[in-house]
Amino acid sequence: MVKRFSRSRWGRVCFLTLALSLIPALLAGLGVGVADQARAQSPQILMSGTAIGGKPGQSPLSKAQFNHQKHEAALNSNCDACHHTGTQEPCSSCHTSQGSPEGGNIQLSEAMHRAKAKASCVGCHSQETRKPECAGCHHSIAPGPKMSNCQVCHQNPKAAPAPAVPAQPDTVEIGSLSKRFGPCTFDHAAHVEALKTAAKGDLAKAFHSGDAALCQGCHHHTPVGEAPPKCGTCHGQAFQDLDPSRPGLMAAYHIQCNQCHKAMGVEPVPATDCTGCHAPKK
Amino acid sequence: MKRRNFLGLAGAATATALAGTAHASGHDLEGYPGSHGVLFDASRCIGCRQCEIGCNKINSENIDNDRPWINLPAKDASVFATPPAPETVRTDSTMFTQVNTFEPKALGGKSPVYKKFQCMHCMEPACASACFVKAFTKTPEGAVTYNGSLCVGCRYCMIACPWSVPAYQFDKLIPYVMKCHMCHPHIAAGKTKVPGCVGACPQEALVWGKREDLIKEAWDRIGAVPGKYLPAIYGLHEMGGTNWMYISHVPFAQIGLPEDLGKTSAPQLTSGALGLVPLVACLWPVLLGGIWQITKWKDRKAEEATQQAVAEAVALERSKAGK
Repeated sequence: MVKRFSRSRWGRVCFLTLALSLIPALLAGLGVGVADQARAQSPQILMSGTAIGGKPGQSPLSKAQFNHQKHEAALNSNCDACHHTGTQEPCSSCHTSQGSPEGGNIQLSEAMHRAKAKASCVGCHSQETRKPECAGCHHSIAPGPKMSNCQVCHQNPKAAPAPAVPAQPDTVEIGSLSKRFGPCTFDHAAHVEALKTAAKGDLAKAFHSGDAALCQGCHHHTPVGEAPPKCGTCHGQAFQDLDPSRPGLMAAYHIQCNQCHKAMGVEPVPATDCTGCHAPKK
Repeated sequence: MKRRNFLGLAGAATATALAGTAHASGHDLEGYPGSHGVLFDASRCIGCRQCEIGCNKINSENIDNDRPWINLPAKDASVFATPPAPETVRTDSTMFTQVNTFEPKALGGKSPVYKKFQCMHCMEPACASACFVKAFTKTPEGAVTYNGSLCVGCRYCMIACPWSVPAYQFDKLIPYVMKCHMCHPHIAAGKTKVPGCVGACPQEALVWGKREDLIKEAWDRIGAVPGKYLPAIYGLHEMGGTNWMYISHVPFAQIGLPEDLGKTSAPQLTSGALGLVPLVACLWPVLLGGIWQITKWKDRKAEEATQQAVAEAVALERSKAGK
């Protein structure tokens, strides 16, 4: 079951009213819209999960922080996006901790975390990552919760602050493969800025552990906040017997550049024009 | 006895005598173990046509004057500087492979998706089973190769191929069939380690490896980001399985890969009927000749009996008249 704790008194009053299920009748009587009622919610709601078979509030993780006001604004007060039954009942009234027939036998944890559901937290957020400004990195990341990022929502108040972004170059000379063409000058700073602009929204800020997380879009397998190794450290010759599926260095560069540009809808030069990116060798 | 049962029994009896006849219809071939192939990833292809350049480069260098059928006419790289061909254009006798542009309905009909096409290198090739001079060979390395010195130019292979791959040199005085050989002669000669197209692909949209490794890699990619790819490998079972396989983020039918070919290989479809040909050819002359002989013998016997009876009757009448 979900327990809602509100900081302001007004919120507490609202919660009590909700719990007593008097609101629908009241609203009908007063002719107030559902959105108005939701707007009266306190901005920050703490949701606490229940370990299966345990008592309410007994969860192995910290309570998830949910900012109702921000979500409401982002959804243009479309309450049904999450409150999919059309009523404002607490989720746990149908989705009990172990599932009940009223809730389609979907447990509370699943109702929050199911990646394919429309109304679940994770499902809706997975859909958000399909937008072009996010897809550049997220097209190659499986939707759904990962073991490492439970704490994004289930925040420990005493958690360490986001790691700082390590020092980075403005331009990078990619010359280790300059056989047919000259070295490629990569405007690193412009790409970082473009990603920062794409991820400037509150949603991205909340879920990326600082700007350092954006580095992982290209520098995959590098811990956040660490200086990445060179691509050639892992990507060498293609189609090696012991690791045939790892792309070679040439493909690693091209896949990284082209897949991201395609997913983000950035098409700088035709694919048949190599010299669009690569200067001819002198 | 029914005709079918009779033929079946006769077949079983003759099979032991005619070695090889029974093997033609027995089917348990899983493909050569450790054979190589290529996996094409439609989501990675950007339509740069580098594979076509790579193919033309390696296959237009005349390595063997005794075997002119394995060489392509050399083309200038500027020929490939245009965007890939539209979806209806197929390979002709001057090329082994081609990249086509598709605008699949699955992506709203506007976003282009590219597909490289060439011989699929079937595990049990239809061209080889249709060829009556054995000009095609399925090599243990995975490639289906063509030997033009045996070819009589019947072009049955072109009709047999479910993907319409083999092309014919209609404009040549001594024409040959032209078809991708997965750079088998070049790899065998140590000229290259991977086919020309695979080595030229900057995106590794083409992955070279053992067929079993490629299948695993394909499923790994499909499973890594659920929903990115369609959960299927084209060529895993099509026409009995092929050594060149495809994975895609749009339905295969929308990038020109027919999905209605079935899982049965072409030789398997015809081997039962064709296995009976030597049997019929050997047995029927004996059988029909025997029947003809028996019929003839019966007629002769009847004729003899008639003549004997007549002679006896005449003799009897004469002896009566003589008395």
